[in-house]
Order: sequence, then C-alpha cells, then structure tokens
Amino acid sequence: MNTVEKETIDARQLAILYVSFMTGSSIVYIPNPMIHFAGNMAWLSMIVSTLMGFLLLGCVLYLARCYPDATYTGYMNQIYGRWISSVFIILLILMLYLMLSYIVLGIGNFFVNTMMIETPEYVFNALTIITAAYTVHAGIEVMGRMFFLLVTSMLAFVILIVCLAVPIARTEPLLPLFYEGVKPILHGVYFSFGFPFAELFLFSVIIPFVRRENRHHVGKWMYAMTALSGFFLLIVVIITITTLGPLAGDRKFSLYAVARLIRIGHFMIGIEAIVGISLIVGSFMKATIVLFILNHITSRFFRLSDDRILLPVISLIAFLLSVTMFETESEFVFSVDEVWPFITMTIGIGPLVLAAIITLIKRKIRRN
Amino acid sequence: MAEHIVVLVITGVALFAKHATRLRQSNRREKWILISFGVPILYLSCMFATNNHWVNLHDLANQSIGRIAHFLVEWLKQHP
Repeated sequence: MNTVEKETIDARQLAILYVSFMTGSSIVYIPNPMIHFAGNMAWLSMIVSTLMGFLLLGCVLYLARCYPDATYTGYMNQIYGRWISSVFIILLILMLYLMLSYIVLGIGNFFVNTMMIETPEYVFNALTIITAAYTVHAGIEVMGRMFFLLVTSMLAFVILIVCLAVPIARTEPLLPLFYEGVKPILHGVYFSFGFPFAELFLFSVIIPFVRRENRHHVGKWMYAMTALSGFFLLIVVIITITTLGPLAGDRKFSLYAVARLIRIGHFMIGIEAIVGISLIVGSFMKATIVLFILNHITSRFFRLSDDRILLPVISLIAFLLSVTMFETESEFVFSVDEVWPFITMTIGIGPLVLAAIITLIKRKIRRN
Repeated sequence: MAEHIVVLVITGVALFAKHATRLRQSNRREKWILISFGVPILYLSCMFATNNHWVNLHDLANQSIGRIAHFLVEWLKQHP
C-alpha cells in the first residue's frame, strides 16, 4: 500500500503544494530578519536568493528526469549505494524533525505574541500537529485540492494588505544603496536562501507522485511558482521597508505589523486579525507538507509496506520537540536565523547537488 | 506538571485514535520499529512533563554544525 503507487497528483496540484510550501511560513517570518541583516538592501538579497533557487530547482528537475521511476530514497540508493545514502537519509530525517518543530513552534509563537497572549503555546502546537497529521492521513491528493483554496485566500490577503499599505508607504527608506557594503546583502542572501529557497530540494520527494503523463509540465510549473514565490516575498520585503522605515528590522511578524497600521476612514480598522489567520494558514500548509515528506521518507527508509503506520509516532515526536526545545526566544532566533540556513545548505542540498554532479558525470562517461 | 500531562495524553489519543486498528494489525517487524520510536517519545515526554531542559535535537545541531554557521554569520556581521 505504498502511496507513490496508490496516490497521484497532477502538475497543477504540485504547483499549489509548491507555492504553499515556499510562501507558507516565510511570508510571515522572512521580512523582519532579512531587513535586520541586509537593511534597506534586503530586496536585493531576495532577488539573488530567488535566482539561486532557480539553479537549485534545475538540479532537482535534472535528477527527476534522470530517475523517472525512482523515489528520492530510491535514487539516492542508486547513486551513493545503500550505506552512504542511509547516512544522508538519517541526517535528512533529523533535519525534517527540526524543520517541522520549528514551523509548529513558529505558529505557537505568532499566536502567543500577537493574538492570544495568555494561552499557553503548547495548546497551539498540539492543535497544529493534530490537524496536520489528519491532513497527511487524508493523502497528497486531498492536500493538493484543499491547499488550492487556502493558498489562494492567503495570497489574496497578502495582495490586499500590500495594496492598502501603498498610500502609507514612502520611498525614502529604500535609500541609500550599498550604505554598509556587500556583507549585509550576503548575510541576507545566506538567510533567505536557506529559508525558504534551499528547502525546495524537498520537492524531489513529491515529484514522483505526479502522474506520468503530466511529468513534462512539472518543470514549467515549478519555475513559474518559484518566480511567483520570489515575487511575493520581494513585494512583502519592499512594502515592509517602505511603510515601517527604520523600525522594519525590529518589528516581528512584519506583514502583521504593516496590517496594524492600515486604517481606512473610521470603518476599516483591525484587519490584522484576518491577516493573522491567513498567515497562520500558510504555516499550517508548510507544516503539513513537511510532515508528509518526513513520514514518506521514514517509511521508505524502514521499507514499510504501510506508509501511514508511523504517522502518529512521528507527529507526537514533532509535537514533543516543539514544546521542549527552547527555554528562551533568543535561542529559537539563533537556531532559525543562524544555524537553520546552514543546515539546509549542507545536510539538505549538499547530497542532492553532489548526486546531480555524479549523475551528470556518469551519463557523460556512458555516452562517450 | 498536571496540565502538561493532560495535554500530552489528549494529543497522543487524538493522534493514535485513527490508527489504532492499523497498529494492531501491524506485523512483528513493524511493531519493533514502532517500539524503537518509543525511546525518544519517552525521553521527550519526561522532559515536557517535568518541565526540565535536557539535551535536545537542536542542541546537537547547534553544537555541531551550528558552530560553523555561527563563525560564518559572525564574519558576515563584521562590516564598517
């Protein structure tokens, strides 16, 4: 009863899952640290990260083309051999546990800091994990159909906020250019490439679920959605800099902070609540996709016939990690802002890029 | 402590409820794999219930790969 044989999605559903994954939690959490690191040049860091994302996507699609019948664990086994690939996959599983608990923790953190400050954080963490586990249990087809509505509403609210914030935006905070040199921009690239662009390599696990007759559309859709995600993140970064000015780097949950500033007449105030909910939906979608990938990779690693048997245990571990990991918020900030991008770049994309290079060389040798 | 245990039990029940039949029907190998997952669950549950902060997954990441990341970020932060 393996899910790859049983469940399939089309290229459009993959695109929906992809855009929810890429913009999901990043649209809430990216602007503030990005602006903190890169200052008013954060927009340039975002553009560079998006371009790097395209290159990484090229590697992912190349491997998917070279091994059309294999799953992620399957082609890692073929390329590296069983033992080396097992080491990479164990590290990847641990990385995914960290990722899932960070996202869940982020949701709880957002609620506790903005809307429901007196409710304990573990309540939100538990609710998020339970909902995500039930969604994953429903399967990838259901996720693909359900997320269309959620991601559309989320992006619609983002567009609404950006449009309503335009009248209070000023262009002066965007200047001067390169005030502190190139290093802050590189710092911004380091952060924004690690989160979310480097994370796109995880879609090499989901591509095998796309129906065979739809596979040739995958590349086109994924490139388009990478550009769309990059565009949305760029717009949010720019609107945050131009509306919040020098405070942009210090305000947490920037888009929410921007929404709080919006007042139209005396009747349209307090729209940040709607925005908050739609932004949380984004993080929930990302958590669900990560849980799906984690469950799939773990089941494949243990060669289980039933893909869903480990789902409750994995979910419970992720919940427990999210409630036990950090004593202070500064620890969380350090782990996400400094360590996480490096983890995705080494444990995540390192083996994948190496696999693409090895495959390329092997194919060239075979051709010669 | 009591509220932590209650939340843990409710979460566990909610997560395992739908899979009870599946877990009962699992073969011996699957049961052993599930039991092996009990070790981290037990460790983390004790941490959560007692509200203690013992070594966790992020500590392993921060103390190993995190050192290189910190070094790199510190270098990026050095600018006039």
